Amino acid sequence: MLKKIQKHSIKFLVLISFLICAACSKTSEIMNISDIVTNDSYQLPEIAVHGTVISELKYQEVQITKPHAYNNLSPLLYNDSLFYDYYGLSGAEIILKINNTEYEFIESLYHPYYPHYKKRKGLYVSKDKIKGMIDSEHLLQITYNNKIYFARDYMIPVKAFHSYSEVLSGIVIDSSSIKYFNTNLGATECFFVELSYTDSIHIDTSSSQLYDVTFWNYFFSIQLPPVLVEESNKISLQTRFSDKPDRLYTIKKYSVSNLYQKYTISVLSETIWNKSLFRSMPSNVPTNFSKGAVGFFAACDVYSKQATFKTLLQKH
Amino acid sequence: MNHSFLGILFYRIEPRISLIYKLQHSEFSIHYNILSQAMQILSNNAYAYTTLETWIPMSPNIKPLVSNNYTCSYTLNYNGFSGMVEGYLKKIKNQVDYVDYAQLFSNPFIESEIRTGSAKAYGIEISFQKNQGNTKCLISYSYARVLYSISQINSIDTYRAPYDIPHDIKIQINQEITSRLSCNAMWIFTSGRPATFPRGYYYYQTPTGKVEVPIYSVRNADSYPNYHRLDIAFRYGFKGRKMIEHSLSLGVFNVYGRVNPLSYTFNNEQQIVTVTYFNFVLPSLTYVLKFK
Repeated sequence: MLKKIQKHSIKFLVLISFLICAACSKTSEIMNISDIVTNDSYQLPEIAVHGTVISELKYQEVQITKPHAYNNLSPLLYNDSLFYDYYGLSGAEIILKINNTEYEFIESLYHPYYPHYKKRKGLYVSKDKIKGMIDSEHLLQITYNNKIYFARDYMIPVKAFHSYSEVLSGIVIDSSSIKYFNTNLGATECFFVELSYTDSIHIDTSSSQLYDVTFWNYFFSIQLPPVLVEESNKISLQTRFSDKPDRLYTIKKYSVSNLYQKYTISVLSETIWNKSLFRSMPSNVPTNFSKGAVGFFAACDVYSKQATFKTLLQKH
Repeated sequence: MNHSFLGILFYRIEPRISLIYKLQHSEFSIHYNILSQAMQILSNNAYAYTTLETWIPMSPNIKPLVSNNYTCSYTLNYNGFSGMVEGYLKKIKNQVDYVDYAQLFSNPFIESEIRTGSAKAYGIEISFQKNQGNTKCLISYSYARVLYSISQINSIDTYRAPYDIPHDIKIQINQEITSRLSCNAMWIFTSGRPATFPRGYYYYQTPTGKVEVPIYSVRNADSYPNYHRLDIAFRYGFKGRKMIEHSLSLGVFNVYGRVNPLSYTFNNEQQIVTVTYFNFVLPSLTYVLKFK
């Protein structure tokens, strides 16, 4: 028996090696998305727009960038300035219509009064400080490359809040710091909350001039089936911060139309939530732009209150 | 036929008509029938490795699936050879599919994530079989299409169903080498299953930074690569006894080590895709013992 085994030992060795090779065979590899073969010659949209008009008097802003195909020619730019220099789109004409009144926008780079440090390519701001109107339809008209794109949003009035806990329910506040989730899932009302303060800082290290800069964070209060809330909170991004007790904070609550809520949930589904339980059917996020442009134009009513950081901790 | 759910009754007459014309070695037939089905399968290809199929019953919101089926076929049996050609057309009502961004897990309100519409399936199947002699073979080819037409789901009128796999070829050969030893080889080819791949992206500013929002064409517009493989097996039948019959088979699955991707997982941030595949050349040893 032993002799027989010895006689066939090379064959056994070959068989065992073969089985080991088969078992250890690679089962996955990384490819560039651009290497995936697709069926048709789909044309990407020409522009991506993100614009918001709010009910506060300010220079209203609309950002236009260019969508890109998955190829190695599109650089991944993490620096904001470089990013907008590359992806920002100049040469658009923008008009906002509210109740038959037209307001013109110009690119921020050429705006005489818009703060210098906020200027960037592809960011268009209203010529004058204007504000949106509640219970009105807001129509944004963009002319770019001889095409006219339209988007409409109806500004619904925001419900006032009386205590901070009404809007900061996604926030956990202890004696010295605030921890909050970027999304407060399962809320009964859908809205954005912005928590901000303004400080004077040196923007340019070569200059001694101080600029008033607003530091902000906001989160999205969102309606979801209760059964999903517990799991989803685990994947919601968290931020914790502490501050000087006398720092004056502004808490702003923004109204969100049904379509804007749908848009935001869709964006989250396709991006941050994509690797989680929320992973859903892949599909284009909705847009309220015509002619195949992507992005969203929103009209939001704002209700705001101010409080010091100390008060915020106490009153919650 | 009637189906009931929560006291709601759905009635449907299911007529069946068949015309068969028999010749000496062949047969020509035409069939028409209407079929209804109280359970429907929901498929999607959003997940890796599985299509996550779920059976859902009819409900006040989901009516039973009804299909009008037209079939025409010709079969031939002659001198150990048989062949078949069949064409079919199905017109389906109340076909269901998920809406965009349907939440599929742990969602008790799954019906709210579904829309109904119509579907059309058509195709042709051709097969040839040799049943006698030391060499037996089966060759079959089918061209089959399934297209959905469900409003509120796609920007175009019709789109491919998750199981729209147009081409399917199977070739199977069995060679008896001796009275105990035989060899079996099977080659399979199918078109890649439908998928929705991102074509590009745009940026969206979130509180924590910019995210890349993928841009797609239309649902199921793309396909995974074609699937094919060759399997070979040798079977040795031992000398039988009164009570038992036993055999030993040695087979190799995917002989030429074809890399068949199972799923793509996209990472839009880094613009890469992880391809999971099965490319084993997998040997197998099978011993079969049968009691008479």
